[in-house]
Amino acid sequence: MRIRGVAIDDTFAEAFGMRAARVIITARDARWATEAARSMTGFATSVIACKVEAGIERALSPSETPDGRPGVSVLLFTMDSDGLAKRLIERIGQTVLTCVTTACFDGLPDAADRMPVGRSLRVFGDGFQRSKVIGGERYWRIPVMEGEFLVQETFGRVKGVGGGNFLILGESDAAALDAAEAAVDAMRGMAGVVLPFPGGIVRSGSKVGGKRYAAMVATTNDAFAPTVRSLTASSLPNGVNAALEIVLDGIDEPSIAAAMRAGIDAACRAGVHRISAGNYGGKLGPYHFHLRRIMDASATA
Amino acid sequence: MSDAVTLTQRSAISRRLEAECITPDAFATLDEAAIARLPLWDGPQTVPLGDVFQVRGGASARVRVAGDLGMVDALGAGMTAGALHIEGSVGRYAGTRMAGGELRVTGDAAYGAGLEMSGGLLDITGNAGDRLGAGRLAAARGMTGGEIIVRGNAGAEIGATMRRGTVVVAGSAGPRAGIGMIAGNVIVFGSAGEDPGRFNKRGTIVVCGSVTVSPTYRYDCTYRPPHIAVTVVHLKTRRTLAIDDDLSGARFRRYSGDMAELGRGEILARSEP
Repeated sequence: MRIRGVAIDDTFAEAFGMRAARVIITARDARWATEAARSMTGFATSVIACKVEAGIERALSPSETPDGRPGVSVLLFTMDSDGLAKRLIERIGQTVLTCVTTACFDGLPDAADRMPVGRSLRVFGDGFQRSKVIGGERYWRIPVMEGEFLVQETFGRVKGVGGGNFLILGESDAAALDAAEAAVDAMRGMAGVVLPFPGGIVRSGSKVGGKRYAAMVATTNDAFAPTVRSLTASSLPNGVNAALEIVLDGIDEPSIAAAMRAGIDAACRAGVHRISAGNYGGKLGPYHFHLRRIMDASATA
Repeated sequence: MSDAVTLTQRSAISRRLEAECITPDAFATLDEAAIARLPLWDGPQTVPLGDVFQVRGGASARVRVAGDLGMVDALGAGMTAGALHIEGSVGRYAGTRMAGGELRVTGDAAYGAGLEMSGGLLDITGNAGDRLGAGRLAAARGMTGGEIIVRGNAGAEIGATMRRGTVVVAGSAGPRAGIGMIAGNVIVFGSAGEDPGRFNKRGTIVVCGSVTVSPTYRYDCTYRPPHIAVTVVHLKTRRTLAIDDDLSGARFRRYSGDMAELGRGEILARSEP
């Protein structure tokens, strides 16, 4: 399969189950909602070392938020249920509670599985906090030096999908980056998906474990590293001098598949030789995103 | 089984009747004839419902009642589910002790509407009388849950001794709103009568119009309470209440009180018109 001359490998991205939460941050204006969201999603690229993967899903207009103010939707993912609650409490407590004018709401109101996030954070109020039930939902009003921080008592938790990915193999670093940027631009703002790495792009794709250092959980994906092409079993075809990876986490499989379709389509441009994907032979994760099946709708001969 | 049960008043009602039997819960399992046999209390005696109302339909939790029911008390009392829509005004104690479902009154409601309710929605298009959402006189607790919306004005002592839940009055409220409140919310978009929040323990009273705060409350600050913005969105979108757009970002003077009680209650008085 080729799209605008770019070969689509007959392979699949292997993804695994995670636990997901959606947090709605509102503020006086978009500037402060975005500041809090950026802070909340900082150092959250990979569960390997960050314990959580997170990203900004999209900006929200006042008509889309519970308090009628501008907002930002953030998605967070962890490997286990308990970990997600802990990370939310830590991150909302340190990055949203602390940010001027913000309030924090659950973005998964239909989720039956609830985490007591506001219920835990309320104790920052040292007994001066108050709860309010509005429209059947309980909120906590925590007094702060600026006024009050409002946070919803519980947040929803759902099964999500982590580790959706595709690789862009370019003839140069510049060509690969231009294509990756185009892919990210096409994927940003799509519902149910975040790109947790810096700018949505990963240059240090990894493999499980290490060949030389047994204690390492993950080491460089030497099969796609061009500088060691002659020293390892390289997966890079001739003419490819740089590879970049796009990693996606999503609240469900269709969201990831839709985003991959948009991203891969945008990445198929001059200077790109192939689009591939990372997998572990189907042994790691139950979710397999086959590139050619995903791209069937937009493929051209 | 029918889509809805409809009761149409046969003639003017001159004597006060108690109609606790008119609830979606009761009608959901009864056919038309059985509904017509339900008793309405006329003092110590009963009259069949069918003598006062023409009954159409049966076995439905959607009930529509039409007529001038100002002399009919306790409509929807104790209802737990379903929808009761009354096209006209109602007498005393409409929706008293209701625990769920929706009771909508397109006219006025007299004394004690939503008295001691614990859940559900009571929506009154017109005005409400005294002790809306309150408790019986000398009762330890008033309303303990649910939501009351009054699109007109309300009388005295609304939300008295309420423990949970929300009372919203789009117009103005009479004197002593929230007297003896234990907790919960009283929200008045118009003005509040004299002495609101007396003996308030932990309740919140929000007043957007004029209000005179008792000396037993202490001023804290003027700020933007974030929960009011959420309340405004809820009332506009889910209750279709017409609310001034500026209210979401409005500042309120916050007073803590009643210091004669716990002092954990509050009055939020809008600072900017």
